[in-house]
Amino acid sequence: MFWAEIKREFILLFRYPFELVSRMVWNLGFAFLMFFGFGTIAGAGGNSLPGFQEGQMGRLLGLLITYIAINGLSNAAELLDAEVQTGTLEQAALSPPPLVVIVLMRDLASFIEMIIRFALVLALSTAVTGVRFHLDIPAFVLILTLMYLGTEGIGLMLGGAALLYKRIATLSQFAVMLVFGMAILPLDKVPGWMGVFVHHFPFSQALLVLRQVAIDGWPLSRVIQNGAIGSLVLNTAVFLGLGVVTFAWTERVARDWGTLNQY
Amino acid sequence: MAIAQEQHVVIGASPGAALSVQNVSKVYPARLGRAAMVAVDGIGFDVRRGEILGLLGPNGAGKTTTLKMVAGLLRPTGGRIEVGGVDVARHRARAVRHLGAVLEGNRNLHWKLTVRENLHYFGALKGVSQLRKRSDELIARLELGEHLQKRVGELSRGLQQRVAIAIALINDPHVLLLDEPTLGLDVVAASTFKETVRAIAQAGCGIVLTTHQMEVAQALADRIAIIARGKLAVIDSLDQLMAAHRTPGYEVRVRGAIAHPLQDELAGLGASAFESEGATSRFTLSEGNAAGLYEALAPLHRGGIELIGIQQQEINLEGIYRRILEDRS
Repeated sequence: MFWAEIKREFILLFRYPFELVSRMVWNLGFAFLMFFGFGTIAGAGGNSLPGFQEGQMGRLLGLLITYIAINGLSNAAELLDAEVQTGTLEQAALSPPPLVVIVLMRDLASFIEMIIRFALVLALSTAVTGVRFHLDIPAFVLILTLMYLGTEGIGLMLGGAALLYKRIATLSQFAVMLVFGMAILPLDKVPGWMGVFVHHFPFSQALLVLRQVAIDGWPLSRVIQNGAIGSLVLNTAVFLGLGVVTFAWTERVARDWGTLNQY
Repeated sequence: MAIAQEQHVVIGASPGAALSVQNVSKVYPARLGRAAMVAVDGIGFDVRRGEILGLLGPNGAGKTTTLKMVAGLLRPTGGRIEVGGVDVARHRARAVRHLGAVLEGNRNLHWKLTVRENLHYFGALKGVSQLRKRSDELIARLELGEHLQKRVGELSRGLQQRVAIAIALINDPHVLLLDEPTLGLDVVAASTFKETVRAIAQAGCGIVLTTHQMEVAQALADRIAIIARGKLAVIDSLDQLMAAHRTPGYEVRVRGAIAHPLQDELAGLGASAFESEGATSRFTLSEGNAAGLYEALAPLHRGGIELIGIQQQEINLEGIYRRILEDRS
């Protein structure tokens, strides 16, 4: 089933070459903005997350992780919305696997496509700017994957809400703004419970580990030894687990309410 | 004729039934300011393999709700549904392996994917083994070979419906659900569709078909179930329904109006149901009154009224359907 989702993702990607090129240009443009533009803002703003503080590498990582986090948050709800628009949600829902598994598989397929696209953008960016990065690729991919799965957990909760209430655009926008907020607000100055929440958000957790790997140059073995990866894995497991359980519950309620098939 | 009782009908599962719906109810819970609503109230029926059951009823009667409960898209409030002997509510994943469905609307497919891509995608989702072999079989059976590389969105409505059926059959189901499948099809496509459905049933698949097009149900269904206000009003074979609702007689059509003195004279000979429509009029004579038919021709002839035709009355499914719904209301 996962292979079918990957295949479907790439067929649709290459079936619309204009959209593919537009995405690449947008990603590339944003990357250049990060290289040359946001640096000034970051310097002046004194913002919090390491991605926005520490040179080109930091800015690029900030872009990448923000983009992936936003996708993780919004993919499930957007997917359900698209399925409802195309009318294929019912066909998916009357397949043997629970809907949550199908949504998860499709989001993972979308994540893989995104990673490949970003690798291309990174290659193009470095070719044009001449800046070279020294990245521990396996560690980098592992951290991004864990972060994506964690944010996907929150995305599944939003997706569950979409299953029951259909229109949740405001809630989705709020979640996206939350990620943007975390990217530019000084985290150490966020007060009380909000600070605890923000620090335990998969986005923040991943960025802290990523900083150690990509900026401080720690090898994967060291972040495993110091427990940073373990903490990220736990964080991911909690958020993803909560997301899966919530979505499965909303799927059950939707089958009671009859909202699974409403347009 | 088996007419269902007014209140909860309990029909146990027949041994070997492809589909068994037993005393099933659905109450949509109250939410967001809307009151709770009883959509289906104690419905029961079985469908054997190779049988086509026409599920009829007015809008909002509970047909689609029933189909969606069978498909596992909705959970019944009460009762039990078994597909291939598997309880849908308790073992949904196992039950839907025996089930295929073409649901209402014309968008059961990914329009941006080709015919073959759709087959492979949904086949993988349904866990079909030997997917390529199964796809090729269906492509040949439903004559989709020349359209394989076309995107579904580019196909005619009739072809899209054929692709939707191919996808519904990809897992070789025991039961096929068809919800308003001929909606929007032209005459030729509808005719081809009917042949396809017949062939599927002959191959051993039990089919439940909902439609508002009585001629489609009359042409296809072995048995008819009529639902009114969430309850099963009647379920029987088409032949039995015809026999039970036959009102034998003759319809006499003439040109021009039939004046009242003449109507009275004809009524004295057993004529009834006088109606005028444009430049023609008609009345009926019961079948047992064949002599009256000949006698009725004389005053018509005397009055200079031109006879257009005499036809033996036959009730069709639409007539039966209307009569049952009128009785219910």
